Amino acid sequence: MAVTIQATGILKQHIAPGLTLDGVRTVGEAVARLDLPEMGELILLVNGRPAYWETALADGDVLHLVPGISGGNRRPATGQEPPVYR
Amino acid sequence: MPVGGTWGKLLHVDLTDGRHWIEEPPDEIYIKLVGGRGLTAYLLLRDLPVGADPLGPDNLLIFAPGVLQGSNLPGSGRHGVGGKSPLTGAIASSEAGGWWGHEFKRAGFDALIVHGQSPKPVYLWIHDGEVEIRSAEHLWGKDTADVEWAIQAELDDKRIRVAQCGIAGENLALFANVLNDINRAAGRGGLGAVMGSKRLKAVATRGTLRVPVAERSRIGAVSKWLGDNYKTQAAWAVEIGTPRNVTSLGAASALPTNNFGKAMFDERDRISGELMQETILIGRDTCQVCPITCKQVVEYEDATFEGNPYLRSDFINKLKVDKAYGGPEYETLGSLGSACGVDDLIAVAKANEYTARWGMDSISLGMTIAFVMECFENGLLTPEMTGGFKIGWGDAAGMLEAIDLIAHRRGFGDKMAEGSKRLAKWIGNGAEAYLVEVKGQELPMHEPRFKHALGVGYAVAPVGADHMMNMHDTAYVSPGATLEKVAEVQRFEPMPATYLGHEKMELFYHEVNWKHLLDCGIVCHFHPYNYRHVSEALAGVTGHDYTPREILTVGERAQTLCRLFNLREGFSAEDDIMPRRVMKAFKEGPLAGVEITEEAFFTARNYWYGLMGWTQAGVPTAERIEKLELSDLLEGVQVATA
Repeated sequence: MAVTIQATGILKQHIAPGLTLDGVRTVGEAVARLDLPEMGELILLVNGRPAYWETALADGDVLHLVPGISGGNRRPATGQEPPVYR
Repeated sequence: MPVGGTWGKLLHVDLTDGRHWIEEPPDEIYIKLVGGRGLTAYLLLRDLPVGADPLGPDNLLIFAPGVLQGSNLPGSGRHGVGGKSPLTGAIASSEAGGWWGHEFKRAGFDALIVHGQSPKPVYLWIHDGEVEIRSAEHLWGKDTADVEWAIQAELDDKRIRVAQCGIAGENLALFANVLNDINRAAGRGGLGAVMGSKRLKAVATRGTLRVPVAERSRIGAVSKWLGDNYKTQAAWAVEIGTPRNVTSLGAASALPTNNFGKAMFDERDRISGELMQETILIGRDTCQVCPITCKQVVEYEDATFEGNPYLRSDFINKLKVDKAYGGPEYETLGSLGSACGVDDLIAVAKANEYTARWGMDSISLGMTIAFVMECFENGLLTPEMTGGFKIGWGDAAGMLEAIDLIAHRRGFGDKMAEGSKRLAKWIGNGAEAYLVEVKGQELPMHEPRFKHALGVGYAVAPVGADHMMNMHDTAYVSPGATLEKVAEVQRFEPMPATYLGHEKMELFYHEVNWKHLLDCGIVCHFHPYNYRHVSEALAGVTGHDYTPREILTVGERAQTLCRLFNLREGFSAEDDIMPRRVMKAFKEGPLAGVEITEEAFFTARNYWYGLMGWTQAGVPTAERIEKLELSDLLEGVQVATA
């Protein structure tokens, strides 16, 4: 059973285009398998529909991970920070 | 000895006769209410005559920091502003960032309560225990940056901080805001109009006094945790800030488009935070004692951005955007972007500049314009009715013109400045069908069909539809820091954003009390503190050993006091409803078929009433008032409980 993973925004740094996972039965198992740095809020879509951690996955499903704006993250900040105005 | 974090002094100023006096409240006011919204709601209940005209001399305009202001806790660069809203008739209670709150607290007072109405424009100058009323006739009609710089020059100190109403507030636009530090806004509810109605142009403040705190080391420990962890725990805010939401919510059909009437904004890449970073963003900005630096600063003049595949603008080389007014946050990118069908980032940046230059809430402004657009599109408005003004979806030039008309109350702007609900009544002919508001306050840029508990929150927030004293369901769909935070009081498993059962509302109960508590403290919501961090900070400041459960009770007290105020002003459970449009399912996109049924909504809302100790008619019971230890505070105050 293969599930395709899509990512938006900064998550693309961790998820290669066209990535597939085998043997993951839920969204939570898929995210855990990806071994992302602990992300903050994740907006989860399965086949373009709202999902959550326990949403079941089927062969051929597309899991889309979108970064939200809350929660914690163990990943160190990367990239050049824009200049502070004041 | 006052409670730590306070001076034991509330400053009252009456602009009608020029008097000022100090009130010294008992310690329990500070310990039970902490400050900000809690204090504001209590003072309004106690001192505002029932049914007062929000634009009349009886309304109070309250500037209320909390005990944490002046403590140097990261996230304490904030203050609250409140009064009776001229937009809704309910309580208005907003917060703003920047430096003003910290400075005002160091000037020696815990809050400022403005009474009456000045016969002529004035500003207040409050500095190290001293209070002066000074003429503002030379400032009236000026842009916010010019007012701030003029006051600093007049008083010969560039470190003076200024809170002010803009031209829109002078002209009594009902969603005018109160700005401080030029571009930080106490946004919702029209408090700028209250300020303008009092002919109070500004409150200038400078403070060098050291705010006494009980145990500085306890605050220091929380500050150190924030300093060590903000880069990972608030990475989103450091990296891009709120504009990330354009892309994120846009992917989920949750970016409000065309007045919440369209499922997807296909052009969202043209107004995204990522595009802003590639083009007009010149820097980031922050608030007092905050390392996160989440704010946007933009500037535009004479660039073409040739080669950028997303930027498309009718205003290349045709206007300038002034960096003094900051830059658009997500709510503005939505309300003056996708909600109006506008995909022109430079136009949205200019619109944002206008909101800060002239002083208007970008959410109500954008949503009122979106409502006008939809009325034109459906033939309910015609140029004959509007004196020639005309606008439709995506008309960026028309949007900028509308903002100018509204701020100056010129032509059809005079009607638009009343907000969408009053405008709908004037239009008639079924225009109410296009309203997207609660209690007269327009919806912010978060789609209830995606975040179902947030939709209930829109219905029950005391100020009308509001996204900050609310819960965002998307933060609880996965395990992580947010659910771990709530586990301090109750453990929840991840839940779908579109679930509205009892567990969701129990989570809502705790988290909305938390949000109200943050607005009493006052602490910035973007700081990734958990309940323990804030209870520890409050304990360190005040010397009172708050626990996590106790601070949530502080938040519940604030909500309950707001509720009592609104009930007294004639609001009821009949006003705690969602706009029909955002309960009906979209026909396409990720949310196709996802509706909020009336049954689900009322079941959820009424279950929450029970959790709050309110009747099924939404009235706090005497028993819950007693349990919240509010009975003593409310002695002699006119309230109706069940």
